[in-house]
Amino acid sequence: MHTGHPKNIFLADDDADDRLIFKEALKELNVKTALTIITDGVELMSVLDITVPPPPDVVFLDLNMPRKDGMECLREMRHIQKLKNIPVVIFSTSDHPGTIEKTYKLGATYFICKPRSFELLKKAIETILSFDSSLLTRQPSKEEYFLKIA
Amino acid sequence: MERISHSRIKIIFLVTTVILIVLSLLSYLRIKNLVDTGKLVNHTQEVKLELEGIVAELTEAESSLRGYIISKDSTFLNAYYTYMANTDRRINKVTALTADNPLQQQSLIALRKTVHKKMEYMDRILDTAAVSTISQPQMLGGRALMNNVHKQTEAMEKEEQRLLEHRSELLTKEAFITPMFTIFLIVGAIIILVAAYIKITQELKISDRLKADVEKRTAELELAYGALQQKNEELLTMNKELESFAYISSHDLQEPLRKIQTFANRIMTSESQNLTDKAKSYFLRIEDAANRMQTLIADLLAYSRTSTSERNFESIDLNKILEDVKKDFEEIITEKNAVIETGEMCHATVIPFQFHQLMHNIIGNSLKFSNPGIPSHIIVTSRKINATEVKSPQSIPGNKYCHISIADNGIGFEPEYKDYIFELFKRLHDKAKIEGTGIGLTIVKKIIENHNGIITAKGELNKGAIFDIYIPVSGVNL
Repeated sequence: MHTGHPKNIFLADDDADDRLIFKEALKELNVKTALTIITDGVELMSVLDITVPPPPDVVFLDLNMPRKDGMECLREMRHIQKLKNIPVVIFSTSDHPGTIEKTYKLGATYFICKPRSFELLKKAIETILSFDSSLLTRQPSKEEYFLKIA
Repeated sequence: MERISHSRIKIIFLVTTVILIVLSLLSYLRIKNLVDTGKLVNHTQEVKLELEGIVAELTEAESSLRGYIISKDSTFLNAYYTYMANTDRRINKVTALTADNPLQQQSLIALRKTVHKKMEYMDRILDTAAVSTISQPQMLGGRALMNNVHKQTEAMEKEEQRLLEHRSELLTKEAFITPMFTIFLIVGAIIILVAAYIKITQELKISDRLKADVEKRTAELELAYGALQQKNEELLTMNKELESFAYISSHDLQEPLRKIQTFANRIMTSESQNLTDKAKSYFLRIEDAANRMQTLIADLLAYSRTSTSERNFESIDLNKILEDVKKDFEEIITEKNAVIETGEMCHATVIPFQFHQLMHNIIGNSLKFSNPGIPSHIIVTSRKINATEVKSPQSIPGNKYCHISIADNGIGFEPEYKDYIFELFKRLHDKAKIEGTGIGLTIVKKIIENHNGIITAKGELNKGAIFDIYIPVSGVNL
């Protein structure tokens, strides 16, 4: 899906390696994007507060972050009117059923377990970016919530 | 020890009671003897009195008769009849009094004859006196008869006296023996009672000491129990910490590992043209080792989840779980040409996701350890049995069990490894030949423990393995 203006993507992750790989993967995808990189939860909330509107097209949110973790950010976003409808894709090392369940209840849009190969990561990002904006703003069923990349 | 002393005390009191009863009987007899002696004396006195009375009445009758003959006064005649009647009455009384004595009765018959002869003689004199005077010899003729009466009554009195003396003597003898025996018994009873007192005091002392001992021990036990409970709580907390530590650490271990994998993979895909073959082979080895570690961590996570996750038991058809497991292995089954045969499965109360993991691990093993060149053939059967049929000492009597048996035709194992294979990280095969972390069957065992079940394994090298699972059916409505 190629629209005129680039997709506005936020990535909140405290891990420098993961940020690097994410950036490289995004670069290799044939999609026009503008990436904003944020390194912790407190920063994410303040950046969102300053830049919105316009809202980002999607926020990739790591869960395990210092100062304010992803879970906390998600909860806050869903309680702030102007951030409520921003698609949030959880991007975590964990695939623990309890964590998946909890983030679904808090209103995250998709859940991706950080892949172990570069190719799979590219595929995961591509899948998310291929979704129509109407598909991203709506929470899917529980079965579809956890995105399986293979 | 205590039993014996109890029976001893019983015997002591029994003996004492018997002695006291004998003593009471003896003193009763003693009093009865005294009373009897008194009665005997009275009796003899009475008999003697009556016998003397007979003589006295007769003498009085004779005097009255004389008086009448001389004075013709009718008062004398009246007195004569009264005395005569009294004489008869007294003879009858003596007869009654000596009824138990044949000798006296015989003497009495003779006496009665003599007395009657005397009375007849006097009546005859009275009759004669009405028509003529009475001569002196006539008057004296009755004297001989009277003397006989005297002699006979005296003889009877003597006999009675003799009897009295004989009986008194017997009673006196008894009266002498009884006190001796009584004293003997009393002394015996006192000795026994004193012995009993000493014995009982001893027993009480021992009992007191035992009681104090028990109290002391109870207090000690309570103290120990308190300490144990505290230790238990500590252990529980530690266990929880350890479990969460295992979970978190294995979870956190994945993060750097994932990066190693990603970067190694990135080099192999985008930078391989810049690498020598040697470097490439090293990177392949890095990838391989990292992949093994990933499996290891995933298995460890699964293992720690079997103890940390919630245990929601559900009554479920085991067929459903088996169908799901078959789906897990769909690809491998087709690829290896394997056959999984399942019959009727029981309903059982299980933790569904754990039971799925259990069947997944066992069937996965069967597929993994298949005989090269022979397609896997796995047979799963299940039936309900009683606890007595479970071949294990751990089964709970009275419980119904669901017996699930999973048999394969794989490479099996040597029988001596039947317990070893369930231990954590224990493996029977070289990593290079067959992959594995040695955690799968440990998880199986843990899940079985979570279900209060029993698992045993049987194996024969190159012929196959059989896993027998027994889980309680309890709580299932059929």
